[in-house]
Amino acid sequence: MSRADKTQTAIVYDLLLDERNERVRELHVTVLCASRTDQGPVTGADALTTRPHVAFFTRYRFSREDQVERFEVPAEAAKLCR
Amino acid sequence: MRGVRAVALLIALPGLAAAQEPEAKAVQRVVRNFGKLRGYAVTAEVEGGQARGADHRITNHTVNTTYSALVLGTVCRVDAPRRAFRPRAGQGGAVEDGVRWCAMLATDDGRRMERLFTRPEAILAECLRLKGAARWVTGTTPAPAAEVALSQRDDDDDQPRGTKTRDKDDDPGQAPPAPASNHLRIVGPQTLALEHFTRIQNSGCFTEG
Repeated sequence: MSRADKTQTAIVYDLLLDERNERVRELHVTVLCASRTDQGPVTGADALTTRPHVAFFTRYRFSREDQVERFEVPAEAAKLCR
Repeated sequence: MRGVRAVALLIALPGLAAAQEPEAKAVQRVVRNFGKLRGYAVTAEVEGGQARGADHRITNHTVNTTYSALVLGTVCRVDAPRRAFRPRAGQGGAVEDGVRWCAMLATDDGRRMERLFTRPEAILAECLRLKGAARWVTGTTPAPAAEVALSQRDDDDDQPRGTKTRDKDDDPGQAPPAPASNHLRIVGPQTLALEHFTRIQNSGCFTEG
């Protein structure tokens, strides 16, 4: 990934809400980074669109709001969470 | 009859448009509502690599993982792809490594999880900080790729691309409660994009890919 051009990056957050716009149902994070070519960095507005680039998507989906049952945390794990 | 309907529609449309809450206020409210949740279930699909095209289609995956977790109170239990427990806020936690529990950052899987599966609360806190740049996504909103291209053009400073929030006076007060859009978009600043990209790089997923 040495070909990533970290001088050209972008991030977009998308919040998808329920029908009454009360709660977040999904949260999408898109992270983009331009790529260098053999000729050097790609410049211009298309560096993160039509030209080859690096893209990362994280899509969170939420459910069971306030309906999660109690769970046990092993003592050893609990110690490491403190 | 058709003419009457058309007139009724013309009268109703501005009201419907005005029903949309100011973006910053909506972000603030939904983030606050999320913070009040005692518990929730979450899945996070993380997909990335070399992409091509305006739709950012991945042509060479370096990561394609789905995390599933339950959050209750101050603790998050991750069930897949590897069992782990971590605090809902902050950093660290414990990841299962064979028959023992290890500190989250002490194993490759733990480091990967910590950096790829960012806590939703942390992401939403960023959204809250950037609430002034939030926009409702409607049928006329450009696709994400075009948004990024636009933001690149005027992103010579590190400020998020702001959008005007509607004034209270714009609201005629007769609007029905149904919102016109359920989708908010925030284009963040390059500094934050770089921070996220570096965190992804530090997960080690590139060296494995």
